[in-house]
Amino acid sequence: MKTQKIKRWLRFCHYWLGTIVGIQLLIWLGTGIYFNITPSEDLKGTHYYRSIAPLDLTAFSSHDLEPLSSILERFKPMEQVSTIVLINQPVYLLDEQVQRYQHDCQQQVLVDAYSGKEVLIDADLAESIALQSYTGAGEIKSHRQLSTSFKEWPKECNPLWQVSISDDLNTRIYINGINGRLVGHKNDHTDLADLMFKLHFMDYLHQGSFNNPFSWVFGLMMLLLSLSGVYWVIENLVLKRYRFKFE
Amino acid sequence: MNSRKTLKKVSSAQFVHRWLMLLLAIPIFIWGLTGSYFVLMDIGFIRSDHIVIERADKIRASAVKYPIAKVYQSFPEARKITLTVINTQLIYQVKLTDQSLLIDAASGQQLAAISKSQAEQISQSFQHQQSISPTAQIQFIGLLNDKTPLEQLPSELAARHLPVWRVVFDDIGQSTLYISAQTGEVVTRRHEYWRLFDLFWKWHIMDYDDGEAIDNQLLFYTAIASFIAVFAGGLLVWQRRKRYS
Repeated sequence: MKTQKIKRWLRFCHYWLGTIVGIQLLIWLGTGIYFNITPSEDLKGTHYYRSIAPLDLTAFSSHDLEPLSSILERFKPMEQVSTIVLINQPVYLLDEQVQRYQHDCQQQVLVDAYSGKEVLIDADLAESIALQSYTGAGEIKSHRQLSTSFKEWPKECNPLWQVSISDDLNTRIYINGINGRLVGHKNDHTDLADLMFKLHFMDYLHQGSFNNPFSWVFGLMMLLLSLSGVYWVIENLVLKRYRFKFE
Repeated sequence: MNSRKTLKKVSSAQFVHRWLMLLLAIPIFIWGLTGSYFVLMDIGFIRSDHIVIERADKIRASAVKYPIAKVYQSFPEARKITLTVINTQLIYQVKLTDQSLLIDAASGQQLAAISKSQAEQISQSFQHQQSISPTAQIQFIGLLNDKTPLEQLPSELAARHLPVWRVVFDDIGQSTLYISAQTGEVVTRRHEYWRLFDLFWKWHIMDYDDGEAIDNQLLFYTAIASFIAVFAGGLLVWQRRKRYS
């Protein structure tokens, strides 16, 4: 009979898809449970994190601001200029091409809004910005300038400063080397969380994305596995196989 | 004796897999379906990274006639000031604590809120090849503000952005731009594939109300039970290796 053949073939598929996808399916469920029970501050590394305060207006003297017209003349044409705060000082952020995401390659220049001088994010400045964002009790252990392929920020296109703190969580604070933006904190909690994300997203090539060939293939196989399973459950229901007898 | 037999039966991989999957087959299928959608649809496309302004104008230094210092003196409580070009006009966007406004960077005049025709013009600058199709027409344009009844506010727009112009195109994705009436910025955008992504996300994390709580109990118990059911399935793979090889 034809339907018997199809049924046998579906079971065959279910068996072999289960064999191939099984381990990854347990990984998906296990990491999913981890995300479910882990506090978001552990996932995001915000244990000792505070966002940077806006400009302190009491200490700000708007009379001394350098006019933008004279500053803009000295640089390439810009799309946008905004006022930002670096270590309680007003700074102009000149943007040659506005990007959608902070991790995109930024074409920006910082200019001190009082003196009109260009500001470079050096080690001292990076350390001060890092400390401003840190609420823990640790102290700065070391700093490092990173230029390409960041293990902890796979999508980041800009050079970064890494400021390491000696505390119970081994906090690392990352500062964008172009505009001084606080990229984020990493610590022992995020080491585990990032590994879990990597396993859940099958990001085994370290692209920082779940749009990868492993997920495509395993996602589709998982879909077929579950569909054949749903069929099997319906078949069991129709054939009244769900009967429980005490023997 | 009988109870021991029953215990042996209910603890067998076959029994656990079959009975748990009676309840879990559908949730597991939903995880597979939604997860496949997430990984197969490029996240950049979903977040409409391709919907960008065709060509942003550069600032001419000589056009900045009104100094930024004066803007700060008029609005000492300003949290952030941005100099930018909107519809070829050079302006300062002044962000105050709970609202924003626009100042003409040439004259220093405060500008009226973005009008319907300005919002239309801004949205059309997002229409070009690879972005919202140049042939798409604006199907609907309307102002949402704090007087708009709550049930008419789309859930895809955060209330802090109000007042906002909602511009809907008639392209295949029903692309929608939300343009701040105070600053002229595109604050949020959506299309149908993104809306489906948002819906699937709620299903994926089994949070059927607002779709933000990953730490919900339903997800926890369903995932634990699924782990056991799948593990039993794994044992069955081994037990039945001869039947299927």
